Amino acid sequence: MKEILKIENLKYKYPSYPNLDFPQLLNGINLTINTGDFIVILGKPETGKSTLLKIILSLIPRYTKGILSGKIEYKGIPVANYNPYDLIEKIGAVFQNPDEQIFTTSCDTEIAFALESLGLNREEMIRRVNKSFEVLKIEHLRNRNPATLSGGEKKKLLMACLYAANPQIWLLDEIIDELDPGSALSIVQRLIAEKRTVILFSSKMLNIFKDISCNFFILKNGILLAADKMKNSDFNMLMADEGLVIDNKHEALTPVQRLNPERMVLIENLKYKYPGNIDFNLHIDNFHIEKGEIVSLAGKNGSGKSTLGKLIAGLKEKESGLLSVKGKNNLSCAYLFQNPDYQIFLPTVKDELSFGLKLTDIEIEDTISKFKLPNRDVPPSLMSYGARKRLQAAVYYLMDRDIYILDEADAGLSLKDFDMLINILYKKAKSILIISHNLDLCTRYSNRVYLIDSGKIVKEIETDLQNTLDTYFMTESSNL
Amino acid sequence: MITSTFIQGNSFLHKADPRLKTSILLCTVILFFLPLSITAMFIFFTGLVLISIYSLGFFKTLLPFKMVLPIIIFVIILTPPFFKDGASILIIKNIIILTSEGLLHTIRLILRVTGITISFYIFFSTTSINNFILALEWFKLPYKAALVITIALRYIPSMVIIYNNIQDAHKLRSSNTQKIYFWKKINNMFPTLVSVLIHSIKSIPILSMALELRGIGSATKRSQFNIIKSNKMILQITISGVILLLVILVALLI
Repeated sequence: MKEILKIENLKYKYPSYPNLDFPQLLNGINLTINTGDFIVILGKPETGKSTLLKIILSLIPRYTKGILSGKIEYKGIPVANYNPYDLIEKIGAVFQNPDEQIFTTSCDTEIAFALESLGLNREEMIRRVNKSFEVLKIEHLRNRNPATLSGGEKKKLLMACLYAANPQIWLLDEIIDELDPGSALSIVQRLIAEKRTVILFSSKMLNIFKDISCNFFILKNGILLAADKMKNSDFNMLMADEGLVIDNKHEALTPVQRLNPERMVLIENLKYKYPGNIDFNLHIDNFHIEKGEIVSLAGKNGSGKSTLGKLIAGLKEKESGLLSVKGKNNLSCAYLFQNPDYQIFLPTVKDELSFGLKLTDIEIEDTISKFKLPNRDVPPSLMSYGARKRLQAAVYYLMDRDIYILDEADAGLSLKDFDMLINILYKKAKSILIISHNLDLCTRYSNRVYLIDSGKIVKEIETDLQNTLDTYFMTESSNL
Repeated sequence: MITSTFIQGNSFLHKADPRLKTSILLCTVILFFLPLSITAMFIFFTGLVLISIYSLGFFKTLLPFKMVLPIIIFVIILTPPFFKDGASILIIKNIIILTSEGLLHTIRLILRVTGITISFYIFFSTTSINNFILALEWFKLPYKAALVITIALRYIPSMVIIYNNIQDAHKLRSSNTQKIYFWKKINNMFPTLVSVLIHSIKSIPILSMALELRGIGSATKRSQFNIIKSNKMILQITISGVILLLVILVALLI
């Protein structure tokens, strides 16, 4: 196998601003990639994974400034010698947030965009676009506007863009986060079977990685630690220390008293029609959440999970059917958006926590300490992504909501932080609904799991959650 | 949300060549600015409404009227006081509120605003953004300008989605279930708009990165994936030209 990418003693520090000095982020990265290597770089949020990806793509320090030293070579030539637009067929990437990379108004045009830049003839472009749709199993999205796709569908579309451009190295940033397990496994297996050179960045050690043959690295304190250079037990311990994996069962989870159940949410024959031209509607026959339960909602990308969550939270209007939420009407639910910045808009942590509430200094300090937030006067916009997510949860914690809906709340959080959040929230909430593609999370915390597909509940799982879910999604994967 | 107004269909307007539709749209807008008689304007306007009902259906045709309603209300309130000529129609306590001249101007303005709105509505409901961009490029609009329009059309709905998400998020944090009055609503918009603005500014460098990674900036001549499929262009141009000429002649004669 030939060496294709070499990184030597790479160091990087973001530029400092008045009253804000960033620490050294990358502190001597060494990595050699050969053609056909499949590498997984694990690291808790904010350790520099996305920054490393953008340095390899010659985007940093081009766009961000900062101090960069060390060497990155693609086939012996420094990547800094290339402009990003020269790298289409050399190094391609899917960013963590798919909305950052989509800029056309139909899926086929999106895939063809890079091919047009390469000046390919139309017949070749059509062939590649068709093949990409076929491989990613998204033919049905061909004429859809990407803005109307779910998060996972957008990631599949961006994977299709890479497939069409056919770069030598694929950089995939948290690609698994929003993909359903069946699709994720199918895509990863295909990349391995086709011997593609892949660097996959992830903030969690997922089950899917255990089933494939790849090299693991952990990014810690700005350096890469290779799994094959340490004992298995040391590697597992390091992962646990970094919050990349948690083995013990969730301590807060207790069996629900079913003798006299109190239904917090009851849905019967609920219908919701999507606005616009989307040929997809939600129809939920039966769904309920009892007091004290943690229920998960799992399903493929674009199956209607978030829509159901938003209907329960009162953020969408039903078309017909019964949707009963016990409590104080629209104030009974807290909906934690995947993107915390939607809910944070005030100048300091203290302002955010006390917005609309009369809190004592002791209550504020107690919440800050409980959610491991920086001090009360720090502007939230300068806090790390993980800290902003913890602040978002802290805000709802103080608002005393009965039902907490966590929509992909684990994205961008270490498992340790997610575990901490769910422990704190469960002590306050009457019920929790987890919306996630991460089957480990669903089974770890939930009493029951609902499986949703094409806008309908297809299965309610109460026992043997892990095996039933694994079987369901692996069957789906084999159908892909 | 311009991108979501395209409605899949099989009407003659859906099948018509986008270059032709773009030209007719331009002519229609110009016609509404010509000093036509009220009758001619009304006939022209009615024709557009009938075309819309035929191509898109009755209920979808109501949408542009709903969109333009606030402007119509402002026109009705603000136009008559500026025209004191003509016979008095409405007098309250010796003050002339409405004259025949004021009424005519008000109707003319309403027809103009609504007519132009419905023209654009029909165009964007029956023409996909890709075809619109292709038509602009055919009219020799530089590729980069066309790209800017595409990105704008892509990001306007995105910003609307972000705005709605942020508004939802803020709504969930509100402890007030009482009815919110107009000025309070306006006041409540500021935090939402600040959040949208921050999101938009943050997205600028990232969008530039994504564009560069897909080849924008490269010296290689771009090829074209989408093409306009129309083998009856000459026939369509001839028929449309004759109809348009007749419309203009009739309009000027009335």
